[in-house]
Amino acid sequence: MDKRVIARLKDVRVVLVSAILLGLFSTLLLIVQAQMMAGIVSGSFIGHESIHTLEPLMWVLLGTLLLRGTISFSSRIVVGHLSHRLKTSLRGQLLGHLVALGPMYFKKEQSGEVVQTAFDGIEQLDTYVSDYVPQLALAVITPLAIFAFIVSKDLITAVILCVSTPLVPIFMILIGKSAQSLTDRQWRLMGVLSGHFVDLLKGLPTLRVFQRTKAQVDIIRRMTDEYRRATMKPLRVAFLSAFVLELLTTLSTAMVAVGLGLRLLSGRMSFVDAFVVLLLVPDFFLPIRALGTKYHASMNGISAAHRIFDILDEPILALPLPGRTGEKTGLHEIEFRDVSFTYPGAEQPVLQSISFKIKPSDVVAIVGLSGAGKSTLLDLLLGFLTPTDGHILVDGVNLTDLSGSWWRQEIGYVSQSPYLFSDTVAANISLHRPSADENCVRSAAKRALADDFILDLPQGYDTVIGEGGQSLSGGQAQRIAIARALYKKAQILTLDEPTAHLDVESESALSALFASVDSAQTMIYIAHRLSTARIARRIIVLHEGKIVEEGSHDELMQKDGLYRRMYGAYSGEGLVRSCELHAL
Amino acid sequence: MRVARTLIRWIQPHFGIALLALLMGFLAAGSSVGLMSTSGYLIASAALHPATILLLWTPIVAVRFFGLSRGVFRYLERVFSHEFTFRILSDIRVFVFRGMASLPLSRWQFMKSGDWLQTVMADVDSLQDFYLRVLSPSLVAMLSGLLGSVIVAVVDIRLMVWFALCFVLTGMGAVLLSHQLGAHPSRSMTFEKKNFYTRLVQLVHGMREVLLFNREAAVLSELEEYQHSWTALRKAMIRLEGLTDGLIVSATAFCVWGMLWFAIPMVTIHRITGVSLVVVVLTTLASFESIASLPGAFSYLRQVLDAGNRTLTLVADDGRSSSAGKEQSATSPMNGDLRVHAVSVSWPSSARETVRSVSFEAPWGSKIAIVGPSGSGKSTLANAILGLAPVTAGCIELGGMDAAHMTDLDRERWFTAVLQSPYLFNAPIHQNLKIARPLSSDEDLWEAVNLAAIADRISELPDGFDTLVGEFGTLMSGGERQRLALARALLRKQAILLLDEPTTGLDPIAEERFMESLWKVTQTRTVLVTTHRLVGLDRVDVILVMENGQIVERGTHAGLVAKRGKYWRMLMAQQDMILGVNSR
Repeated sequence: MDKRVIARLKDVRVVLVSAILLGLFSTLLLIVQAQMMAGIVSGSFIGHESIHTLEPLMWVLLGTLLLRGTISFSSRIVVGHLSHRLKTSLRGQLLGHLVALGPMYFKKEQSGEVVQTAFDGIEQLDTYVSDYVPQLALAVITPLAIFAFIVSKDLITAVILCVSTPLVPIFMILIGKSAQSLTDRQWRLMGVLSGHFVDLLKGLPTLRVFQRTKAQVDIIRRMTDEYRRATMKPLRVAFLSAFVLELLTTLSTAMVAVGLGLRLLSGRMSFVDAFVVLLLVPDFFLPIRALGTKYHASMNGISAAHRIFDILDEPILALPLPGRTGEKTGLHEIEFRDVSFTYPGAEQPVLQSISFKIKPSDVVAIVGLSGAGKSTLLDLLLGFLTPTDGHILVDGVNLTDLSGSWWRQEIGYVSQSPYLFSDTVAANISLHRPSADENCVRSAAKRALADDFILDLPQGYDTVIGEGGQSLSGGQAQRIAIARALYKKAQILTLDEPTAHLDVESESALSALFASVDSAQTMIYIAHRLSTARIARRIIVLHEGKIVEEGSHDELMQKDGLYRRMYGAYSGEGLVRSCELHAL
Repeated sequence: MRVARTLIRWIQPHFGIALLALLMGFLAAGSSVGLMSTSGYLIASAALHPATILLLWTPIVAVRFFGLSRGVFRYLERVFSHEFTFRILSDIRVFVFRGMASLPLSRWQFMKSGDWLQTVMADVDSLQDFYLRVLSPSLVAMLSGLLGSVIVAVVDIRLMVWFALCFVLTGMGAVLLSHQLGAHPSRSMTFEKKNFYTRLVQLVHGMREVLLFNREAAVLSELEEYQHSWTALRKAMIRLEGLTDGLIVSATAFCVWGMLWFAIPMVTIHRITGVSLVVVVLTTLASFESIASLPGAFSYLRQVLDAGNRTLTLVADDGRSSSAGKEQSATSPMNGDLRVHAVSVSWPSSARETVRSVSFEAPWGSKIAIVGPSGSGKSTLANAILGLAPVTAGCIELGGMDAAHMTDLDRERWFTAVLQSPYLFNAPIHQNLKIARPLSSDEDLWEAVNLAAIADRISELPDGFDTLVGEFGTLMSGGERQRLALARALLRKQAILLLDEPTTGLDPIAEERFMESLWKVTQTRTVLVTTHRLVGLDRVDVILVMENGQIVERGTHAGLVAKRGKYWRMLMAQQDMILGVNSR
């Protein structure tokens, strides 16, 4: 068993101990049951006793078998209950940690994989704890108890079991090893095969356009057949160790039976002892074999546990959620003082000694070529990252001393590719404060130029959008995101300007957003178009993680710096075309 | 039931190997019954101290044989059943692929996210496991029960009735408990699981929004609630599992108990021998072993049926486009003149017509642009021309022939396209290109990539055309992908070229360049391009301006600009945003 699981999850020990106790009890009942059966059969067969003389034994047998059923029922319940407690607390921890890690974690990690770990991974761990651990206990307890009993009855059988049993774990380990390397191989092959199949399904529209779907059917067949041939060969070998294990247990039973017969023949043993031993021998091997079938569950559980603890051990780079709330209400003054940031594991810092001040109701644009560090700068401001060096001060207080939840209350935000929740349009807009009145929602939508198209949707503001709902164009989604930010009415408005998928209406909505910023709001945004940049009162030009220029559009155009060069390259052609247009 | 029928239908082509696998499974289970029966016979006979050991020779040989044979048969069963499973996998994949390939494109719109793919893949796996995990154990259990009955019947027919009664009732009880009772919680579990999963995915994908709109506490408590109802269901499941466990444990022993009640008086009056009593008890215990695999099989059945239902619903043939897959037709288009006459298109999913009574003509060699805001019906019109959207009224004619009657071969000859965000397969570049025309020579490929202005980039690659797009894809910019898709489309040399938003994701400079080169390389052929970006359209013969599914303006660039209508306003808005000067 994984030491980390044991160390981190004290409850597993409780599961293990209760499983051992219940297993022991159930095995004792099994032995009693076998002894009763043997006694009754022998009484009739050898002692020629009638059913009436055997009746007391019969009632004991009935009681034993009912009790065994009850124990087997309740051990499931007890173990299941303990495992649930463990699972619930672990999943709570994991989800809490994911939220604390913030969105930056998912840049690095495949978000799908994390979702899988948080759900299926924990379920697999549950199977491991509630299925494998008790089975492991049984696999140790039951054979031991039965062995002790058999020793008291028949030494020779005990010797046979003694010789064959140690071989069982050896072969089980062999099976496990070969199964492991086989599953690894199979995973890779299966990955290639599934990948190909997924690739074809994803590209179906393309195949349709070029009338190529029929040809692919043969390719699917060919690839699956190749996979079958490639896998069956190692599988046949891998099954061999399972075969030997199977053989070992049935051959031992056969040897025991033949030995018992011979000893009975020579009168060195009583029938009742022989029969009880024969009844118990299959049960001696049963739990060990059952453990073998759960090998897969155990491997899954262990690897899931590794993944879960990897996530839980992931250091938090974001601003901690709980903490001190800021004292000042109203507009805030933000200062970056010598802020540097390096991603963990990276050698080069993304940002280097960034210093600037943002006064209340300032409008600041951040520009720069891609890779200049614009997004990282915004993420630091949003508290999704904390500086590796230097400080971000909010009204003179170090941001890392403040609560992330509080700080984000103060910020409105429109992302570059906004996420829409699968909920109604109204719920998506009123995300910040649900159950507000409809007028607020509509007025926000109107300001974002979204009202018209929302009313055109099948159920207007009650239309469900997002995954599985009504699909929206990129521009429409963008406008809902703008409405959402306007609805929040935060003191500080931040925006990561979209670069693609913008239609004319959305562009107008963006400019409406800029126009709506009043003196009661501070606005900080990443500008990808220099046209939006020039609206800013102050432009911060980033280059390779450093601020290279700062000033208003006009000031920066005076200098022969990066900003002017970017502006020239970007709009030169457009200017010419626009002149042509006016000449018409 | 249609799921069951489909599942059975899939077996038919592989009936031989399926039967072989089943036979081996039965022989393995039969061997364990045989091992215990003969062992019992052996020790009982030995206990009677026969005159010579020779009388025991037959049972000793039988015990040894069964001790060996069980492992051998199990091994063979594993090999055959895996072989069978792999064969069926290929059929299932082809079935799913074919089904999805003939789905109307409207259904694909809902599948933009990757989640449905995971569902499809998981369902295919579940279906594939049906035989291994459900069908085979159930049939083997039935056959073992039959074998046990025969052995008991040889001893006494009345005992057989008791045995069969117990066996059938226990088997049915296990099946009903795990399936019928389990169906309800396991159904709602699927539902709860989906809810939980959806919320989790939303939390992970929308982490920025969740944190910035201060929903973290709400989302976490929502997840906790789902977790609670999920746990409650799991507990119900576990109670059920425990009940099944307890039932099997008790019922097996109870059957033996009843057997003793009936058989011992028979022994007393010498109707059956004492040896038979021993054999009957051990046969019963061994036969019931096969019931133990039933609960697992039948709880899995639910999963299989759900997977089957989902898959069959997914590929259900409602609203399938009629033109897909026509093999032959009497006539072929005479030339490449395209005529769209009063065409309306409506997707089955939406109430409104997406395209309403649109007419235009595109004689061979003409250049047509369809422009309009997002959601105006441009892409749907383009898809309708390609035969990928359902035309509900009017007709599309090519060279005097109704396009609805065109064969795949005709389409291959006359149409080629670059779809919105074109898909590139995880295959070598040359394979990606040859999708359009499999028989293209290397010269053709070079010509196409030259025309699409991506030849230099490809010759820079160490593996050239053999480079995997998967690896290359990460190094490829959006523009390069677009060019590769264009090269692919251009391989069909004398076909009408449709481009659906070809400049999506390109920056303005790349956009200009792309459009320039587009007109250069398509001088002789017909080009239809849909776009919301009004760039490079002065080279186009006719611009169709669409709004709400209708053409509201048509004319040349110069004409439409002079008209100062909708087109001109769109152009102005676009220029305004690029430069940000005109309106201020």
